[in-house]
Amino acid sequence: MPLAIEAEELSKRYRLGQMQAAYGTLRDSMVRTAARLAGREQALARDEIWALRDVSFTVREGEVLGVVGRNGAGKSTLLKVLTRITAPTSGRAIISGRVGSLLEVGTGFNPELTGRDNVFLNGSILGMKRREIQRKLDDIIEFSGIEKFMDTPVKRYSSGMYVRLAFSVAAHLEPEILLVDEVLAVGDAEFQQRCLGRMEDFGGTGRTVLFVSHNMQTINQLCDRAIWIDGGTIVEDGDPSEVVAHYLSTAHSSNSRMSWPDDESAPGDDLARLLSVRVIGEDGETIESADARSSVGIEIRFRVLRS
Amino acid sequence: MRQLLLREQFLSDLEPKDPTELVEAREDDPVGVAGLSPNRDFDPDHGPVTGHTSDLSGDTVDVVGVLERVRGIDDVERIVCKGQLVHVHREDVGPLREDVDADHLVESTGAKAIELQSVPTADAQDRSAGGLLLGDAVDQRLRAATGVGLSLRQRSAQLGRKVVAVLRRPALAKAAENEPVRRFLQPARRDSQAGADTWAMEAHFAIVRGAGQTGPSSSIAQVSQTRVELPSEDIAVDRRDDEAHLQPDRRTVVIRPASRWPRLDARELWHYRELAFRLVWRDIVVRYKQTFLGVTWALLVPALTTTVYVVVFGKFAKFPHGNTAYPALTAAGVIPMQYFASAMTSSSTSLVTNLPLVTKVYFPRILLPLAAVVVPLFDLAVALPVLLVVMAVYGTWPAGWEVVLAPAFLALAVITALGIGFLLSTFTARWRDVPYMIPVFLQILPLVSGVMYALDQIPPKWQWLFSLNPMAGVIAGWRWALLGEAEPNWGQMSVSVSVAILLFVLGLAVFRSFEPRFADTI
Repeated sequence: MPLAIEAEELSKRYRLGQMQAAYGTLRDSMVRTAARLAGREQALARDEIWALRDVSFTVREGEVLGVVGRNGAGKSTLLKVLTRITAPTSGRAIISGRVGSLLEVGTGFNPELTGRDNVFLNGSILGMKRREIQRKLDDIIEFSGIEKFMDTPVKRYSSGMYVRLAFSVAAHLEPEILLVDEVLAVGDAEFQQRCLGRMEDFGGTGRTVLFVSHNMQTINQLCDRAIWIDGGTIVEDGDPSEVVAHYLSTAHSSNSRMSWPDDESAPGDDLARLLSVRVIGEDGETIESADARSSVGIEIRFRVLRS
Repeated sequence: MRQLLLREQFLSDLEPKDPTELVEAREDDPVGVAGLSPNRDFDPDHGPVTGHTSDLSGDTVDVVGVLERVRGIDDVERIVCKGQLVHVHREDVGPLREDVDADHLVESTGAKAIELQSVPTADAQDRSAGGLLLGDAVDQRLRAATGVGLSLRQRSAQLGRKVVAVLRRPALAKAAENEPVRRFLQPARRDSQAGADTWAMEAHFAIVRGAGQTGPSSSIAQVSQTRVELPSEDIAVDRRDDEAHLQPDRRTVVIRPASRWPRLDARELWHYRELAFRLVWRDIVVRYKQTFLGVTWALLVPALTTTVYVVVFGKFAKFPHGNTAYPALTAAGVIPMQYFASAMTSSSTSLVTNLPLVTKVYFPRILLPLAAVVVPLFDLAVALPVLLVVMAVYGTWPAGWEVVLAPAFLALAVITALGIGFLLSTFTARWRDVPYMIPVFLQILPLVSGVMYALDQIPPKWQWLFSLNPMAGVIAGWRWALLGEAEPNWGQMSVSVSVAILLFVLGLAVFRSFEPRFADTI
């Protein structure tokens, strides 16, 4: 079976500054550059994190691969790299086939345009050709269930209508390889169910799907295989039900406790830095869940560097 | 190959033991009514789960026995030996025939298979075997709906029945219509006529047994129909024709770290031409939405600007205007300047204003500044009548052939705007200073471009200095081409052109080399 996606040691490094402040002024950058020139480069290098580190995997043609992991584990970065929105820092990936990506629904919707116009706009942005959109237009409109409002500017839509239309366009995207982020969590229950059915159909047609989700049930239901990413690396790769089970069993243990072993990178300043934070019960043990009737404590340990 | 898919042909080989017992679902057979909701949930209440049964008893299902009864086939071995296929997976016994492996199955049989597989229930150990068969073996090749098997497996609890097996069998009927492969998921059309056999119906049957029952009450029902494209050469060609515009090429993309060296991938730009067109279309349509005067603004702005210039600089300040009437001189300056201001502003901010696109989809980012300089051309076209009217009033007409050069000078403005747009949008992707810079710049620019005076009336050394500004060249050129003014100084013009080209090339290089990081820094 030929490979649709072949990722070899993909890595992506971010500077923390890039992630925290979405943009800065020129002055900020000059300060940074000056600091680098003044030999404080070490201090700055610490601000780097690897959102992905040596991630290698393959996806066979026709396989439906689920990606699970905590927030910030690198799932979205992986998708962004595979969709070419951002370039990896090192490593490479080979993708064979027409790729469609859905990182959100309704990308590029313009509020001033009518529903119909936005179908064409959004379709083009998602990589559909004009003729293809024209042919599917009726299906798209029908699927959305808002025929009456197709000639109304989208800005007058309710948010539910907006999402329905947006998803209808997305649901009619038919590439050979589909890369999807958590986009099913939209609309009401009935609409979600229809979207899920659509996804299932899609997986059934022998197309390749890479699917990121926090919904473990969906992963179990749709995927042939799952990978679990944590801290930018693949922890487990295998049968979805096993991967999901392992992921769920560990994900909880770290939810109520966080620690920073490295003094330098811990949150804080030159006065004090955090060591750990945890939620404790009455007996002083870390607890995962608390009864509303009992006392709960939050323990914060920090180091005072200067008094 | 195709013949094998036809039912008659297929069955003649098999010689059913007793034709009346044969559960041979035709499309019009009651057995064949699907109880399948749009989501492929198997709904036992909808549609008959017909009692045309085989009596299955005990926990261990005699698969071969079932097969015999269902198909009226008395010799499973025989079929297997013939290279037909009966592929059996059971959670308790494993594959009935070890020697029929999945790979072989795909290679040799294609669609001409009957397939019987037990569907592992929730606690089944042998998931892999079931998964393999469902996911890989036949369905992948044919691109048929594997969803059926999967949903049955996962929803058996929901059914209140245990799914004992799913039978997948091809080619009950064929139909005429030459539809593309993506139509698989549509329900089969019953009214289609036989003709060119481009596809066949494939059906999934489920043998289900009531939960908790052990007696002979299992039933068989069709749960889906799927269209299968016949694997023949000419159909492949048909499909390609139909899909040609959808999948122009099976692109293989290699994703690797951004190279430091910028390059322009013209083929890729061509590939995305429709998107470029759509972006331009969007901006033009949206531009004057919900304004009272609408597109009239494209006329009013240059008209009012020209009027103010004429009154203030022409009447009161008495700016030098050479031999040409001052209003005509100014109108011919204002219109390209207006274009440039608009083009430069929108291309410089194009990445930021389209931020959701930049961070959520891939396309060559260069389309954004490119579209941004095309859109104001529309305004320029609307504003041209202003210039024509002024020219008519003052009787300043083009002197001769040089009028054909007017678009070339306009192109110079486009290239300049694009070059600056590349540079500033790259800059804006990282720093937000640009929006504050632009208004100041645009206030100074008309003054050093000769919009409200004749450039050839100022001291020559200043003329040379101003020629570093490509817009000075554009305006001088326009006046020469359209108003019949004196020929521009070609030395100065070449300075302007060189600066414009330099800006363009530099801007393009900078833009391309930062392009891979836009989504991270913007």
